[in-house]
Amino acid sequence: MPAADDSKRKAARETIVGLTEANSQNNPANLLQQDILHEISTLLNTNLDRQSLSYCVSLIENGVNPEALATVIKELRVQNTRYEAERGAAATEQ
Amino acid sequence: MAHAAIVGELATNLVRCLTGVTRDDSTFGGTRDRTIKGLREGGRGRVNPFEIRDRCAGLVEKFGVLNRDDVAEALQSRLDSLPETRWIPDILSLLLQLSDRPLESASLSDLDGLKRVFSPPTELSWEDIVADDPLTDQDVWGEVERGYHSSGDEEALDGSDSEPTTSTQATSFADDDFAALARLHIVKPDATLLGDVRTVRETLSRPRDNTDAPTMSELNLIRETISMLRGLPTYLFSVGSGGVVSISSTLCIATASKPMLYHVRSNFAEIGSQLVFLRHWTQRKRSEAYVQSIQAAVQSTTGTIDLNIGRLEQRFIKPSDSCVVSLIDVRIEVEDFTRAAMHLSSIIVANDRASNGNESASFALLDALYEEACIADMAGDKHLFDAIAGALLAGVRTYLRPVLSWTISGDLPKQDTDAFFVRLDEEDCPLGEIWHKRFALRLETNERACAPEAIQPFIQQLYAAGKEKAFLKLNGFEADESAVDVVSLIARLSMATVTERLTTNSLMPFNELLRELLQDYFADTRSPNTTTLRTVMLEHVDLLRHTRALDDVFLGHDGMSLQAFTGSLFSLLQRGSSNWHDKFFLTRLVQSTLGAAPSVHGHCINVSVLTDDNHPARGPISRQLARIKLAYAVPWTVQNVTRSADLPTYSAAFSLLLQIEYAAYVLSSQTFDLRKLGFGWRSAGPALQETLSLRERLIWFIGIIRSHYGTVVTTHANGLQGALESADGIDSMAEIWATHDKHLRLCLLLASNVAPLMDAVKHILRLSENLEDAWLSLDQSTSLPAVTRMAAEFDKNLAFVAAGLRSVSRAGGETALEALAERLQWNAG
Repeated sequence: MPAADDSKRKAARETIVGLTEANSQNNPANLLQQDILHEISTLLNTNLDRQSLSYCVSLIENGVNPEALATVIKELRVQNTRYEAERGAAATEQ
Repeated sequence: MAHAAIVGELATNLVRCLTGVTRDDSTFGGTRDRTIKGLREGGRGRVNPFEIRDRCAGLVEKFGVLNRDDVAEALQSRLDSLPETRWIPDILSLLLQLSDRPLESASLSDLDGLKRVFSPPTELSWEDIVADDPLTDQDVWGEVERGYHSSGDEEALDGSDSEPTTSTQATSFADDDFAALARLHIVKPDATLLGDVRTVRETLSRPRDNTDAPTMSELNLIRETISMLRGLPTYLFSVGSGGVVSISSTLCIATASKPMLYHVRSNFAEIGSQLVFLRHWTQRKRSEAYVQSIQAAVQSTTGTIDLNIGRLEQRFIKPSDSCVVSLIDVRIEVEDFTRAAMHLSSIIVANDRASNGNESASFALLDALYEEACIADMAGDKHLFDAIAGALLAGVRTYLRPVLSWTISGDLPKQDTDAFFVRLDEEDCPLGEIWHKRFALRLETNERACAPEAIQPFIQQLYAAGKEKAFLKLNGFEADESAVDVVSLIARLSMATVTERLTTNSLMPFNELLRELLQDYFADTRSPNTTTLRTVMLEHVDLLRHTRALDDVFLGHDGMSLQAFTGSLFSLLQRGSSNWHDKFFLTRLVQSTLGAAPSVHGHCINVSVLTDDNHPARGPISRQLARIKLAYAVPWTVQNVTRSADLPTYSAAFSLLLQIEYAAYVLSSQTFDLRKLGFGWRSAGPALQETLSLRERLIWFIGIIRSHYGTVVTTHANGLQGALESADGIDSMAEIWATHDKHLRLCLLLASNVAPLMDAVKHILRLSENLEDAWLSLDQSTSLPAVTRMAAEFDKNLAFVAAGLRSVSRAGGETALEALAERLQWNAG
């Protein structure tokens, strides 16, 4: 399947974005804001990729407390680290 | 709830991004729930934007202090580039909380690695596309014809620059595959929608006994009822041989009792019966054109009913708003829009019953519609009036078409039907009687003209108008049919005109309005340039000249001519010439004397001498004069006025005139010259005296008679001229002539009821001739008794004439006769 036709086929089909924040994020002004925030996030070494940052921005725009969000993110990272450690230990035992 | 769902979805995606755990993982759900709980429990507290600004400024300053000016500048420039939104402080707060030793790990090279990619949050993958639309079609990778794509490709695009694309080819079709294109637009009906209907029909078609009354829904009952009203066969109603609809099966509905349901269905059956009758009646073959027009009008009414039934049905098939299914409502609505048709049906049924199926010409249907339209108008029922008057006017318009042809051109319908009020009576009648005998009114048994009631007031007018056109056509005056706009004239008799008139004058009854419309209609059938019959008779035929000619020829209007004629004739008679009764000689004599008048056509005069038992060839001259018959050939157009070619009154008046003139001629002749008497006259003294006395009295009497004759003729001639000039048609002219003729006969004592008086007058006139003979034998002894006897006869007849004239004048009121009687009595007394 030719890769060159991939973008054309996507452009020929009507794509329905299920998430409301995706439509708002596609706004050029928002895209510029996202880029700037991503650069600031990179400079501050927050370890948030662009997708995660966009979800965080959407959550904050929907009224989520930034402190609570930061706490949740940290817990998820801890949990993720623990989960990867356990998976790694399980792989070593096998 | 929507907000919570959004937050939940975002949290789910965040968890997936941060942990990499998919939904399929067993821990995903718990992780997500904890995340969402943690976010909700965090509250909605806002950060202090000034604090965030200060922290960011402090961080930038710290970068500067630690000799990381590049990072400081980069951070500051990005902070300055951020838009001033309400969420920026919160977002920056989050970033600051998540920052991990930025002073040590921040680097500008990290920024270079960032890509500004415009991509949707959820990207489509080929797996998703293939799962949705498998690429099994052979034409997927074919060429695309750009002309099929869009209208934007039509302008200024060079086809050679574009390359065919497989993506568009997948959705395009071949040129000749119109069937496939059409199939895209076919809406397949849902067969399951008719399931309920089929079930009901199967239930009803199943044979069952009378005790079995299935229950059905009101909607199904309405469906069956509507089908019946349309004239379609149904299971719930049956149509008998006479078109009578009846209820064929019992059933129940949950929303009404059986008696009420039966009553409602009976109402519908009655309506259905009348609709069936109307539909059958409109299909019946009828020979009368006006009935066919009424059938078309009634068919239009039933068509409107069908449309209303369709709208009613549509309401239940495709309800736009909440629709109440009620059989009673349907009945009320059906009764409303079928009311006019029911009334029409009752009118037609009554008419059929009254005529006993005899379809011969009778305008009972038109008359019934006319009467009912008047009643509906008086009752103010506009809907009913519109339906009935519409049918009536349709029939009247068609009925008036041959009438229009008759009044414009004088032509009868090609086929002599009983529907036309004029018939050809005597096709071969003489031209002189065409007006009175060729055509006749077709009368019914009650002596009424065979025409609708609405046309009755105009029958005589229409009859005369058509006769006039036929009469003018025979005179060479063809009617200009193109001058009358027949189409617009007929179209004027329409409901639109009636409605307009009723709008301007709402109090006018319909019968008056229709009469007014018909009056205008018939008035407009006469084109402005049409030559009228009166003009033709007075100017082209010159009727007045012919009547003057009759006076000159028969009545001695010109005394000089008359004297010239009588002088020649009487001298011949006295000489005893045997040629005096030669008709050619007499004709020539009359033509040269009486025919010399300006108004007389001499070649029209003809004289004959009668020879029969009533007119012996020998006898006294006064009797011989009665054998002379004078005839004047008037044109056939004038004969239609005089009703006779022979003119008996004028002939009799001429004969009387000759006798009077002869008596005067005899008494004034040289015979009575005293100087011619011999010596014997001395001895005939008493006889002479008697003779001379009688002569004087006879001269006096004849003078009065001549004066009376001249006065009557002159008076009647003048009156006749004036009356004929003001007459408007042949009928009035003929009536005037008949009156004139009657008066002339009476005044000249030629009528049969005064024959004794005329005999007495003629006897007196004959005494002149007898007196002449007596004068010649005056010296004889028998002369005195003869003269005495003549004198006595004179006195007796004179008294008789005077008395008779007085009684006749009193009975008839003729002033001329009364004056004559008085004159005779004065001088006689």
